[in-house]
Amino acid sequence: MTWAWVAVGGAMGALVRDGAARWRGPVAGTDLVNRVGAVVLGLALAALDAGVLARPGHALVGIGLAGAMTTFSTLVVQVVDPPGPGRRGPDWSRLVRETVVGLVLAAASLWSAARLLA
Amino acid sequence: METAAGTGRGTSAGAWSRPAAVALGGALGALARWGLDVAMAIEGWPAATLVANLSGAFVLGLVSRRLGDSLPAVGLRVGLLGAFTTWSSLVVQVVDLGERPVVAIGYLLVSLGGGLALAALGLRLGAPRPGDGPAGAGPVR
Repeated sequence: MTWAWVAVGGAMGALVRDGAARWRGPVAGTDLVNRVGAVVLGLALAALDAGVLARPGHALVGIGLAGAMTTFSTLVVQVVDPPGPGRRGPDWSRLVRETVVGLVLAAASLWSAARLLA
Repeated sequence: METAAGTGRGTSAGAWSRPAAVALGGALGALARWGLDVAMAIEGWPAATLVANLSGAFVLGLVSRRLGDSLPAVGLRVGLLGAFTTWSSLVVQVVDLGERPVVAIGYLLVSLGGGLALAALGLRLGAPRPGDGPAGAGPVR
């Protein structure tokens, strides 16, 4: 039944991502869900390791929801070919910023959840 | 910039058609990513995420200027490809590999460098040519 939890979480995650892009715009919406999703996956993995979250819960929240809410492909395509009026070059600063922010959020959520749940 | 076609307004699609296409694509994309993870389980090296992210970046680049805002296109671009690739797994895996910093940095650099190169290649190969007709895709998301 793991596949069903992954599918439900994936559907929810894609809907959240699309909603964020329509609410905040394609760039800010993608960055928002990528940041939130990094935190959600960090918390889910820490909860799984601590025995607080069962495997079906991780399949739903971690693999499905957080995995599908966040997107690598959209980020790199938008970095190479920034959306919006006018043609300009790749948005390197966004890539660096989002990589640093994503790593910090993932580390902080893993570390803080592991301490809280220990 | 959001277009009328991009919002689904002014099209024959019902109010629930776009969310249904996104949800279906998202479910399939997440299942494909999970299936790849099960099939490519390599201890200590997140090969499945790397393969999913690199291949998804190439395909999204390839189709992003080609496909319009039809429901199948939205389901593929926003739903399936968006959910098949994952940013959260990448950053969490890099943090998880922190005890092996060379591997962690190598994984991050190969993911980002490879993803950017393949997205650029896909965009180049998928760019509409004269006579192809309107490529109605909105902003990539």
